[in-house]
Amino acid sequence: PMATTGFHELPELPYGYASLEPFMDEATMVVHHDKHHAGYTRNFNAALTAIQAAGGEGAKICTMSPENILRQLNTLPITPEQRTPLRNHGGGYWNHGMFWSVMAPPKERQEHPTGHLSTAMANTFGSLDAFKKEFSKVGAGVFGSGWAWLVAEGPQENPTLKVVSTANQDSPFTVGQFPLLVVDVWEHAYYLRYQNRRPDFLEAWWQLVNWKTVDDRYKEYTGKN
Amino acid sequence: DIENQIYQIQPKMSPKLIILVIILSASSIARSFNYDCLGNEIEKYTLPNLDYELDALEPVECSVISKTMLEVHYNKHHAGYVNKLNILMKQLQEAMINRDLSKIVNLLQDIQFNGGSHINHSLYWKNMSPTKLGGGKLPDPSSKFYQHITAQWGNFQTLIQYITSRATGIKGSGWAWLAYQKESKQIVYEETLGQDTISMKGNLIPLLAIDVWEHAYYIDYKNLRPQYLKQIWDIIDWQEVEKRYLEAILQQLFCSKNYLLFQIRIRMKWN
Repeated sequence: PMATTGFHELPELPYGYASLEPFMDEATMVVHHDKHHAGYTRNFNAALTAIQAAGGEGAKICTMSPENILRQLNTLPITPEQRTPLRNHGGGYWNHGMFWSVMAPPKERQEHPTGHLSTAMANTFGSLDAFKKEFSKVGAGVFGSGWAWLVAEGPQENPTLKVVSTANQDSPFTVGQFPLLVVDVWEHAYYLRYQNRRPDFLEAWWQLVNWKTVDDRYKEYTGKN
Repeated sequence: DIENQIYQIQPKMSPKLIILVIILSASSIARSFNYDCLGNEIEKYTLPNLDYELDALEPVECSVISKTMLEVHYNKHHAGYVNKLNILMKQLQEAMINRDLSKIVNLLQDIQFNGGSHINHSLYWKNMSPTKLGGGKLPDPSSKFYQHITAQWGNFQTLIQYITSRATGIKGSGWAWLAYQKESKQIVYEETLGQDTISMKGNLIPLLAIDVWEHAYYIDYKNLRPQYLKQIWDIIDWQEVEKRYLEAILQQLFCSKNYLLFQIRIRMKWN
């Protein structure tokens, strides 16, 4: 039961809290979704409510999608005090939603990228294993709180793929990149089961990645089926 | 004439004191090298000893920091930083011997992180104490430190509330601090992100360190950082904070030559 309605709703998890075991524990899923993600949702809605109440040009932001808010974050007609909660809580709201969607119960997921994405990844990284190694390295190397991403950038017909990281709740959308895959490396994402062993968490996390979501997002960016 | 005056107020040194000074200087010079001329390691960084047992910060009435939380934070996180630091420092030594500038530059970021973490955590353990050993007890109202705080902040409650509300708002991973500003001689609230040290922010001497990385409280409080920050005041060792404050002032009063002598006198009186 969550009082997280308003401009945006806390999305339901696409699977049960315990269904990512043994790689991600039920307790973490409960707290991560029902407390952390819910908190960001509430604060994001509160920030938008305040912007709407302040009137003026800024109020039209309230009808924008979170992705577009993050894309245009630095050029929105709002004050810095209004911008900061959008960056943190809007980012937190969207990032966690994507995080749930790129995972699935280990036996129900698609285990490899296919089609155009598969080709693009082979061309960029050499092999899926080489990509995973790079991605894990970046994820393990984030100092403090943040996220590791696979993003697409550049022309739709022939995008560049990159592994990047962002701090806190910053979004690749803000710097013109399109997220394809993401992992949360804030300590709250893994602390209860893995404590300080972030590399172990990242290794286990690969068993949860549902490449169908990643394929679909790549299709969305390139327009190709 | 001025020289004469200074000569008058300089403490007279007995032969014993002279020898003590020589020994202290020699050992501090020796400690600044981690390896001898053959490149053998002499002294590694080590996890500082805790002044209390692992379960001492969970008094019967309420658990501020549980044994499990402390165990993981101290024996896994801090120990991990120390181990990594030692590996990096060894690599730095080799890179310096080989004059490999690229390697040196590459290592510095990780050393800043792991070394900063070692400094920060060492301060953190020391400024906490079980309630039965004085944790949570405010300093004596007649003390210089108490008076400085009340002169600047009104009272301790105001200060504590301010730190709590600011520290709650730190985004992501970082530290909340009380620090002594050397130029203004004020006691200020500061924040650092990641494992940045307080000295990286300017002419500041750390007085109180509070870790607000999620790993500092997650096992006991999950996402409820405000609860952790509310409870932690029960185990803050204000005597340690006061000691750091007094040392900061003393350091300013004396130039470094006399400071060493004053340190000796203070230590002999302190015990």
